Amino acid sequence: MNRFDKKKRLKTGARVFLIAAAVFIFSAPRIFAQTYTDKGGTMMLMEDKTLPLVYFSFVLKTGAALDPDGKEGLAELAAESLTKGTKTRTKEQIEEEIDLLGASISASVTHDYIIISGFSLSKNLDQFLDLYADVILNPVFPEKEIEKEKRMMVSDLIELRNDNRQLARRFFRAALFANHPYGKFIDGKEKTINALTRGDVEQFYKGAFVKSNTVTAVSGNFNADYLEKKLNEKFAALADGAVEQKALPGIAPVKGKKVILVHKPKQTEVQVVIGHAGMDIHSPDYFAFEAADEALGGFSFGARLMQEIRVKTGWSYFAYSYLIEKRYPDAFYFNMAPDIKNAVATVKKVLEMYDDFKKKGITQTELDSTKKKLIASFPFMLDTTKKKMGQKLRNILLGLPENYLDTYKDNVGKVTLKDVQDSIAKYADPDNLLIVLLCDTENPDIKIKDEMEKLVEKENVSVVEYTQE
Amino acid sequence: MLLILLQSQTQSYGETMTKTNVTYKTPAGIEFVESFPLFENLDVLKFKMDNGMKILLLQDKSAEVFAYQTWINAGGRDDWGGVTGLAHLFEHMMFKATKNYKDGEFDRILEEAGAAGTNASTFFDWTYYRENLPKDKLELVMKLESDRMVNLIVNTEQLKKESDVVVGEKRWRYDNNPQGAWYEYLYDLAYTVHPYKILTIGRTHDILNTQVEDCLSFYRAFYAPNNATVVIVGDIDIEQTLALLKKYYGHLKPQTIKRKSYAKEPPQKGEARRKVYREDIETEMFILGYHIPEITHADNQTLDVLNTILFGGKSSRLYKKLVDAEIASSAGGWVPSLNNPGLYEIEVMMKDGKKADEAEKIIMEEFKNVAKDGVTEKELDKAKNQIEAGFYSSLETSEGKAFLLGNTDIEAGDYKFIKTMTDRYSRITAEDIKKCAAHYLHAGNKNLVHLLPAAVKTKEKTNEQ
Repeated sequence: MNRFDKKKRLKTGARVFLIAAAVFIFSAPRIFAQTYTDKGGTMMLMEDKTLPLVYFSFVLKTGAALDPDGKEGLAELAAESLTKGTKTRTKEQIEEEIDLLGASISASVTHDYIIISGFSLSKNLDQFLDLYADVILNPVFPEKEIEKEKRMMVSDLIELRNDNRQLARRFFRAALFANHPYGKFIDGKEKTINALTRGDVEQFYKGAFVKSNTVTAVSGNFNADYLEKKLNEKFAALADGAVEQKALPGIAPVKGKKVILVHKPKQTEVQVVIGHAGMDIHSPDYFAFEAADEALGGFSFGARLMQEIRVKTGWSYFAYSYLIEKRYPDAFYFNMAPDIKNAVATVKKVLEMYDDFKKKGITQTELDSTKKKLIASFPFMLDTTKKKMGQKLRNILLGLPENYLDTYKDNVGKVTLKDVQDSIAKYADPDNLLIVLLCDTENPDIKIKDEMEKLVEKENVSVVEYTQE
Repeated sequence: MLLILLQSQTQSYGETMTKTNVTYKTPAGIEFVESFPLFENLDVLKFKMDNGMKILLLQDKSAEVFAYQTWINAGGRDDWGGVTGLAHLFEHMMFKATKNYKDGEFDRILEEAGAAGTNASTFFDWTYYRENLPKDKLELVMKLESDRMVNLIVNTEQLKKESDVVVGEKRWRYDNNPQGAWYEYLYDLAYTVHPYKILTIGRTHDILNTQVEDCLSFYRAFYAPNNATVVIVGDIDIEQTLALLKKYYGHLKPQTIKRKSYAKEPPQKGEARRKVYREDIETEMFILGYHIPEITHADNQTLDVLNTILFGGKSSRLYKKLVDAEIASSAGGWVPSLNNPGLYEIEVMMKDGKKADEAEKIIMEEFKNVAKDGVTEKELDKAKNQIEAGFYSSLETSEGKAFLLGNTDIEAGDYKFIKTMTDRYSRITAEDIKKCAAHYLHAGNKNLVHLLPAAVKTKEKTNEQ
């Protein structure tokens, strides 16, 4: 096992925006802002002859945020169902072919976009491309397979409940984003999955899989001229059309401090998630608040949360803050997992620290250290061609400016202590917090409900079962 | 000393290379051992220092960064004095103060230098420490790493807090996680005397009662240059790197490595099973373990290919019969690459309402099928393609390459075993697989841990009454 958990960064694309300009220019990719016809669509190709591998990302700029109410999980079901059969291949043939090529095709759905990823040995490129394009362009969504996939999605939800960290975050998001598109569970709920039909999937596909809504990014060992020609040939068959991109509403603020205790029997740890709405990453305040977030709960032993909750007290193996980055404002929250004996003390400490953070901000020393870290570690987000392509894709999908990477170091460098303190004053909100504790509320020695009722108003503490959706 | 390097030109998976000449200068006290072609234009250079430290360098200028890893030939199996979890807890302590750096300085200095992924891991056979840094920070990391190899300070207060942290880690990864806990149950069941019986995390009681002297004696026993391999991969200058290694590690003295002998696990005498009821799970699940040979044994790679045929991809035999058939929600297998004989693990999560017996029966039936009828050439090709793709993926980053080299060097005793493995994979036949299935995957070698929701136990008791 590792000294500490490496899953801190839930930011889309992680800390990927730092780059040494020299590296970026030195290995400039061959980028096409290409149309499949005259009707839109972007293609980006980046050659890299180092290894005999090719990586594909076929991206739709449509995600789970647009799942209709009562039909959460639709984007996920549609994406997973592409490989269930095409006009010329059965599901079994597709699966057999993928495995025989030593390849993979998988779907990843977020609230803002869907990525159909492909991976192939370069010696099998032509065969793979034929298969990959077929799956994307010609799915038939067999009824039987759709129903099976739905059942699998429901099973996956049950399995997810074994993962306390993911489960606690799920309850947090459900409460924070009630009635907001970002509150829709990407993988759905049992009830909403069961409500989905083949017709829904087909309709979703027809609406989303149009040229203007796509970005195709390929990196690896191939000839760019050749692949450009092939991709244009293949994806010319994509339908024309437009997808309306609606701006999402703001998140209803939490009022006061609300505690949700998620009861799971016999747990000796408590998954603690505390937070509120996040910020718009396109805001000019972003770099300043990001620096503040790093100093407070960054992936660093020097960050305040790790110092207080792990190093000095030993209460939790990890303690981080997360500023989630999506196309629209998402969440800002803290996460740690103390044992039940220290859970209340941990919560109190975090609240106290966040209060102090709001009132006093961070120090110049903290800011200087944070800026050094962010700037100096930049090369790692672009140390492989695949990562470089990932960054370009991320910029497009999050609506960041084209020169975002080129200017990132300067933007971080320019942040002053006043900028940081101003951003904290604007975005940190320790008075209005959602506090989720996944724990055994029936532990005979620690009456966690009673303790939390002393911390916040009694009527603001509720208990739910961990199996509740 | 002048090193004449033969630089690689072309290589494919499982094939040999042709070379041209390049020369390097090595400082006194560092001896060139060999060069080895990992892949096209990726030559590993092995050196050895007078104090016994092994050095593996791989120059890769595709990005202006490097990966730096220090592999210590000691892990969970070396826990001693009855203190389980010692190797891992001690790994945590390695980030504390030394004679030259205050507590917290190691992390702060590296982070401000741009380090990414500074961390460490402990497993049964090794502990390794890793950093990835921009190319101009090589001297900095060497200074820090060489310092903590010999100058660490362990104090009671920090040890107490770090013990709590490790117990917290155990709570999160194992105690409150049924898919972590099942490893503890399995290895305890399957082993009687070999130290693999106890997972590297150790037992809570031992973690909390570890003393400073336990840590210091472990440190003195294993943390020495002659028990370490330093692996550096990335945008490095070979001569400059060697000069720096000499500067920072050259004066470190070798130690007598006090390795206990690992009790040999006797052959299993019949199937072993265990049932565990838990209140925090809703569906049945089980994990199987079969004793299999260590990484250097050819059957290890044959079993890896078999595992890929059984579980690799959605067209694989057991994916189709378990997951696609909606008996299990997930199923997978893992063949370990360990220095001593390990366990071939198979993990199955049952679908809601399905009994583990049903899936177990299907798996056993499939093992019999393979032992009797073997596998097809198509399945063999499929598996080999998947393994080949996986191998190339592991070479994608500097960190990945460094891990492959360091891990193989300890597990197999020689990093060049990578070539032996890839050659073996390409030559495995259907007949080899058939023989391995018959030899290893039978009831007498079987260990099974079955996790059930506690409600099932209540129901069973009611039915009995």
